[in-house]
Amino acid sequence: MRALLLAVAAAGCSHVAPAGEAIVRWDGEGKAWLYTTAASAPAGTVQAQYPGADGKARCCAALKAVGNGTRGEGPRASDQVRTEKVWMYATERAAGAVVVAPDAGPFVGAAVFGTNAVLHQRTPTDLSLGEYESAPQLLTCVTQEGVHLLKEEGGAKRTHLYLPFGYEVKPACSKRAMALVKGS
Amino acid sequence: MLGPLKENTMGLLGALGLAPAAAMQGKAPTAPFAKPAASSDAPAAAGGTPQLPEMQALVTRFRNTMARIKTLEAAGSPQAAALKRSAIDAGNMSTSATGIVRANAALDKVEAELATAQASWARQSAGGVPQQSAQQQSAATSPPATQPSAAAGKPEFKGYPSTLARAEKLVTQVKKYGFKEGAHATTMDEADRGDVQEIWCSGLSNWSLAEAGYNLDQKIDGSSCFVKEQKLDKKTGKMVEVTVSHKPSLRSLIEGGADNLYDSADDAPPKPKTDEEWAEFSRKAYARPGLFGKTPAEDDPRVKGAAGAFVLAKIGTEILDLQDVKPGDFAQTRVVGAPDGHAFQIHACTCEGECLIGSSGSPELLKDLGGEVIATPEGQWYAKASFKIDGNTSPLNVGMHTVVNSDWLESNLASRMEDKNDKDGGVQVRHGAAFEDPTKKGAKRTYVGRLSSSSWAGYVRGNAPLKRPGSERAVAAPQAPAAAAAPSSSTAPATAAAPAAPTPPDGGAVAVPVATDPKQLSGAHWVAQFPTSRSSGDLASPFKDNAEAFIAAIEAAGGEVDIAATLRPPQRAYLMHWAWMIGKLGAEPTKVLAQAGVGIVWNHGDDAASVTAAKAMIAGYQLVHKPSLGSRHIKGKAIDMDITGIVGKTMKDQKGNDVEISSVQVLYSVGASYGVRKLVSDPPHWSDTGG
Repeated sequence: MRALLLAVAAAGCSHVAPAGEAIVRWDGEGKAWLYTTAASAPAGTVQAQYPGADGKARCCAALKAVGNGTRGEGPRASDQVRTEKVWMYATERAAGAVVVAPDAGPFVGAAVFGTNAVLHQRTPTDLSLGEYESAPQLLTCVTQEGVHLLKEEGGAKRTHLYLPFGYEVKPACSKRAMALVKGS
Repeated sequence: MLGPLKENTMGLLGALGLAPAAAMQGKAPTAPFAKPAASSDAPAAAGGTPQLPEMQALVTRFRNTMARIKTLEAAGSPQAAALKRSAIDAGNMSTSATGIVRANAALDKVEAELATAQASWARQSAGGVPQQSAQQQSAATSPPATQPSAAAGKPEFKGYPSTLARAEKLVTQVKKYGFKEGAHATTMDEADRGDVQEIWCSGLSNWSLAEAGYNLDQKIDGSSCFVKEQKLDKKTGKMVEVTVSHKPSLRSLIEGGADNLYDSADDAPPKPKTDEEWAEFSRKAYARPGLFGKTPAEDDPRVKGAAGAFVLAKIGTEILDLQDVKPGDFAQTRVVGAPDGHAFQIHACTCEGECLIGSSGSPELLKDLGGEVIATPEGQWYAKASFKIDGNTSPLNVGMHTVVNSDWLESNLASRMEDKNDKDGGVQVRHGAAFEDPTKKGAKRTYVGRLSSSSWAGYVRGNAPLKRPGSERAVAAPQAPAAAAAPSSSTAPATAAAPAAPTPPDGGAVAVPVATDPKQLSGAHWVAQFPTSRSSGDLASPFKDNAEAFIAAIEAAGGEVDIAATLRPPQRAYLMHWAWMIGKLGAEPTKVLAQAGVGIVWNHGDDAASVTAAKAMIAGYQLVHKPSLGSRHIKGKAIDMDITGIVGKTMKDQKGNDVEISSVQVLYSVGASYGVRKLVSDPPHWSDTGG
């Protein structure tokens, strides 16, 4: 056992932050909030979609979660897979990260943390955690009253978060995403 | 929310001068109808408290129901006693506002069972068949045989106003009254519908129902009818007479099929073959004793066309007071003792009384009759106005009123067309029609049925959802009048309290306004106005009662419910939608019509300032997608709620059955039993339709 610990230390490995996914909400004034089941603030860098000047999704801005999680006010986000509580964390921009256009307006998208995988945006609602074909996928999907964040890995749904808007919109979901939504 | 109604603790039986306890103990079981004169002399509840309109309406309904039960009892029906107990139980519920709602719902059930019992007893009386056993009687009240859901694979049932809207298009299409195309005029085969060139009156009713997804030919449980037919005996090779039975269908009841009236194999008549034989057959059938009572309410449901069919099939109710007819209702007239009559649908009603003009789904204002008028965030509330309601009218905008006359959607003979140049008859809207007075000698009786899916289902004129603004139970106008229309008092101009422009009679959007005060201009200060309600009390009935009962059942089982949203004011949707349209999609602020009751001015004088202000509102609302202008929340028929701790527990469904909630899908099913249906794609969202 001692030999193993020494080997780990020699390899430079230390505590690894838990990986996870989050819905990111930008408030239109450059600030972003994360909605995740992580009970403590995600450590390390958070990769988050952000709005371009045209309001459309871009990938990705580097953020850091700060402070303790709160339950937030108004319509609450929920976890549709594990039915755990969803916490809201404030963030701040990581050093060297992109600066979000001040005129972009509010926005919601996908975010990941605790992973070295690079997020690739295939479409504004379809991201992959890595470039290889079987890499886990992150899908966002807008239904009548809110947005869903879905993680599909190995053909199975691993994550399903939902953030209600507080108003009605025209649903816009791919068939694949809707199948995952209804499969919960 | 219940306000003064809570003070009325005596209930309906108290209002009738019959103590609930005595009624329940059976000490004076016949008192409510044995002394109707005394009852009618009791307009106020015991103690001198003025009787509320809701209670008055319930009292009237209770009396009518009891009168029908009394008739059944006098005829010797063994089912009368149980019905009487049920009616009294319903009366005992009426000790509060919610109690009145429950009492009306309970009376719905009593009336449905009463109709079945009347039909059963009429058959027994006329045919002399042995009385049913208790088991057979209960079978007569088994679940409905014909329901929208039974039309699997058929067009999705949308309910009223779909039924009416779909029939309306025949006004221009069908220019002839007749039967030739009848074979496919009321089928559910969509391909045939464009070919319909002629149609008869009850055919139009059936066509509407078929279009709406009803299975017209599914048999209705509970009764069989008999005729004799000639059939070939394969052994002897000779024709022999055999008695065959059938069960009525929605189609045959609406068409008044006389063969539905022979329910004893012993006196089954020969089945007619020719038109002449059918005419004679019908004449004799309708003249049989026991089918018609002293009043229309007492008549056998099989002679009532759609009204009776809806009750027997348990897909709707009969509207006994013709003052209560509403657009989308199905009507049938009938000569007493004869098959003659006419079928039609109520297209619109001209009314006098309270209404709200200006919000989405407002009635059409015809004339202000000089009563009180109050400006509200939703529009102008009139205490006394002449107005018209039609398929676009929301019941939330109609208060206490009387129906002056109605427009009928019908297929009729050439001689009955409003267009005197029409030589063929066909489908038309007959305007300003009035029902015949059934008390006049020789007058036809009119029966009216309402589908359970009608937006007017459960509407009680004496307990209308629209109240005078400021009263606690105002559903359509939950905001305080006048001042609530403006931004917060610290920032808003006084003039913003009033609608920004005159409200046109047809309500809804009004002329593009011009700012009379800078604070009327769009901007973030508007975001706090018209907040979403989190109170179930702001929902529209009957969804309100259904949702509250569902929540109560969850909590009684140990689950927890956290309501996030109920009523979303239409003004809020309007502000969100147009902020997005201007700030994101380039809509011209000068061309956005105003919403009655919202004093906002979108045009700041230059486009850049207008867009900046709209974007400030987008940020304030945290909009990330274009908001819709319509939703079940805006109608008060949806609720967002987090439900926790219920899976694994046992709760009551609407019928009182214990159901183990083994999964959320089971919870969805139990919710549906209460009329609270899940929108699966959005976790917190439940509504009356699941949409």
